[in-house]
Amino acid sequence: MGAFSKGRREIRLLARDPLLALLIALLFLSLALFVGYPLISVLVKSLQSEEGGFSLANYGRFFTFRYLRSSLWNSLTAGFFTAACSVVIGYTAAFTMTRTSIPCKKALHLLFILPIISPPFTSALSILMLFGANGLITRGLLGIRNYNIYGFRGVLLSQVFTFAPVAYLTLRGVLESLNPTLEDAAMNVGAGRMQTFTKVTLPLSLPGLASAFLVVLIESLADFGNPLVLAGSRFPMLSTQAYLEITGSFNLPLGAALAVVLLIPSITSFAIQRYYLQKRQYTTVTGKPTASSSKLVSRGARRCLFTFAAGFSGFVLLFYGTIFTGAFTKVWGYDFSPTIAHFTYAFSVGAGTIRDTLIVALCATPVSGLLGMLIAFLVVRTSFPGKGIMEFTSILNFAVPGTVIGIGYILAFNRPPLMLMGTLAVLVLNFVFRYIPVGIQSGIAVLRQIDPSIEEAAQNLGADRITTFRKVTLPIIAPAFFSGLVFAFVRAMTAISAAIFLVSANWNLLTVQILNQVGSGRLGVAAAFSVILVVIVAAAMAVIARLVPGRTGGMAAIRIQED
Amino acid sequence: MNVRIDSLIKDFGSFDEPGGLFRAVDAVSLEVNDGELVTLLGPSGCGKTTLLRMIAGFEDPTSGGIFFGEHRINDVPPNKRNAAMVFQSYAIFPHLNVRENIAFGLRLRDLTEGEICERTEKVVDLVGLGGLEGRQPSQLSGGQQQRVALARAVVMEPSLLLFDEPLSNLDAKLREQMRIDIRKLQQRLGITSIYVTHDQIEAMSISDRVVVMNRGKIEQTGVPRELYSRPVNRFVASFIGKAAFLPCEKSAEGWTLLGRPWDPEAGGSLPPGKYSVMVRPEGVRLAPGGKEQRHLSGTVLRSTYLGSVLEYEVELPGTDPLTVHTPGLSGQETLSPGTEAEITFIPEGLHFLPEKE
Repeated sequence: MGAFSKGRREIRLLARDPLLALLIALLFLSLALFVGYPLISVLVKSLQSEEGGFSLANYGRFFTFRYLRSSLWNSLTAGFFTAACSVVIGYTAAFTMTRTSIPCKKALHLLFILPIISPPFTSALSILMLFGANGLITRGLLGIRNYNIYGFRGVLLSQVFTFAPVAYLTLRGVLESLNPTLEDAAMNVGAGRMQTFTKVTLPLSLPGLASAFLVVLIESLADFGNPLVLAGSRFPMLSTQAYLEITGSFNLPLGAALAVVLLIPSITSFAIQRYYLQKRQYTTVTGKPTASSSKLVSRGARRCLFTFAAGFSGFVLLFYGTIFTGAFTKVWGYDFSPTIAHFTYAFSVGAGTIRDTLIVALCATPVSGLLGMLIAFLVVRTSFPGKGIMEFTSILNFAVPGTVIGIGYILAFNRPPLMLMGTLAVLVLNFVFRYIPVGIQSGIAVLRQIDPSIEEAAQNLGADRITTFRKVTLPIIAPAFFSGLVFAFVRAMTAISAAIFLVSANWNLLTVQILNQVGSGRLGVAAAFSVILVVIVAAAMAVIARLVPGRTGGMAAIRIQED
Repeated sequence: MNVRIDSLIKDFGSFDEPGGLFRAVDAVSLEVNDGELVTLLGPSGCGKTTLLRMIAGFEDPTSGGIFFGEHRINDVPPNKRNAAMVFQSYAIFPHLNVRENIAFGLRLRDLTEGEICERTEKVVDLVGLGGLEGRQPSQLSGGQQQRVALARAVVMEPSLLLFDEPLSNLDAKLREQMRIDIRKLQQRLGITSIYVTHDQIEAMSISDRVVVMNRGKIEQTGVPRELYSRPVNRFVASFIGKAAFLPCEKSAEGWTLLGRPWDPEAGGSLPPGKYSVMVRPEGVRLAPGGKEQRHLSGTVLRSTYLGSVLEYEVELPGTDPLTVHTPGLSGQETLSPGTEAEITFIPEGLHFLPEKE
């Protein structure tokens, strides 16, 4: 009864503002079309027999075919171990950065997060070049012939390298928001360093650790590039298997069923992470940064932690150095004489692809950024029926593996009424709706932190609603907006899992091109393409950093809303 | 400009919602004269801030009228009211420096760059922010942020200044200084002002008149001295300062206090009936001994030395303990706990509240 009359009042308020109502209706329609519809198509398709009737046969095959069962098992074990290792590495790194005074912090931080901005299979490529059959380390240094990196080992190594930085960023945030005075208090009442860590710091970071674990698990399950390069035929994994069923065997219903099976653990982890763990984080929000206590770490421990941090950064340097060297080396593993032949080749076959990738990314980025801010603004500052549904749908895509989305788009948009396959639109739409969640989340976080009286103050001084938004709200949320843009751009440039289903002769992407080169054994060309991609991304980030209004220092002054 | 508030009501929620209907402001009427500083004083949740926000235009009244001079401004949007507000959280724009913050409102008007500069500089000097014009808000102390908020409001030369607990985030010393500065500035500029606070000392020291509110209603309006010495009810008496209430009665034979005959030397014009007599701590005198029948006596429970005064708590048979202040420098010896003491009242300090039947 109460909810009903609340809904009625919200509708009445909306009726007063028809423009807003229209906007909300349009957003709902597009979310339904480009998020909901593809997902439902996958579900429906998975319940069809090859002739088109209803059947559970696709799921039944899990019981008859061993490789399907093991692909589920492999995905889960790889995901589990990747998440565990990433969280340990990420937490150690985050602890080192927030609780100790070590030299070169800034450089180490940049090296830690470098893997986040590169294509997800850069590490897979480096691993092939270092540890593969002709690898620099395995064969060149250790002289092992035919060392087999493919399978669990390779996937785990590559995924940990790719996702530990994600865990690092998350856990750094967690540790930074834990008030260090709690640790001081524990030591003040007589706890030793180890006791303080095990009885205060660690228990307080547990929800954050669990949350980071699940985030990495979701990303690992969804990962496509690393398994495709490194899993090999003896270690099938769900995301790649679904792709192979569709592109290799043209078995769409089975591919869809695999996608649904992949979706279950992802969505479950997402639900636990979002609706259970997020409410249990012990963050102490004070609005002003508290000085971190460095008494917690003894000198010996600090040396160990620094060695560890330097070691991980060393790995990052090694992996990127390998790619870079490989791009300028004649035949990796045999002939290390320098050449620019790979680049000449890359530009001759790939100029069109580079152009396509840039066009797609440049179209998707601003739309994604604006849409993210708009939804964030609607969710925080207005009220309308179905607001919760809108927020949920718009961030759902964070948890849905790209493979599932890719299959969904094939099923949904390869037939009337929306015949979009092979067009630029399908790629742009896919990127826009896949990468708005991050923009929305950061937008919501920033808007919630803006004390409403700041906007009231502007009105009080004579500004109308539009001037207030333009001159006060917008400048304050600009940094979040631009970082959302950077994220969307980086992802649009480096994405592979959904995109691989959607590229066509007309519109191809760099990442797919790199994967093709790896597939045909031209590692040098793949490395050259990777270097080009990383350079473009870095250049774009530098440009966006320039465009961002310089005075973002005021962000620190945003008062955390009381109560 | 004078401000008139006429039977203003503000309801939150509605009957069919889980939280139910809540009347935050209940038929409040008030007049603020030109150039006057009136304080709305009350405990949290008494409706004072809601009332202020309705005057600023951030909340729509459920019913009733708000008049600036002769104009009813209920339907005027907040940005057209020219009633500048100083917010509790200061609400400084974090992306603008001090000068830009102060000039924000001026830039929305049709002013030349020269005028804007001139007025901004004048106000910067007025509030004592000279030299800090280029600072970012994050580089300012709490007191400086407070001054920016004040300058930003004053520079508009508003017809009404609104203060929403502006000093509640400052430490005690700074609060006292700012209180004096705000009062001086307000009197110098002669701007009609409405000031919200829950701090009675702040209210007493800064205001021409104080409005005591409780549960959405006005309990009493008056100059500070009147509120302290002649409160209309127990709520006002105990919200402003300490007070004890002793039951007494007037009949044809005279007064009785706690059932004993009593000559208060006051209240002669009151009709017969039951009363509570309000006693302030400084209106009581204590003397050692005093077992005599004709005097009221009590037992000292404890004494606390507070510097300027010596505070006693004295137990009286048949009523709540009485707080008594004697001057800290009186030279009298301190009465130790357990001592019997004779109690006399200063007639000028007594105030009778009729007891409801």
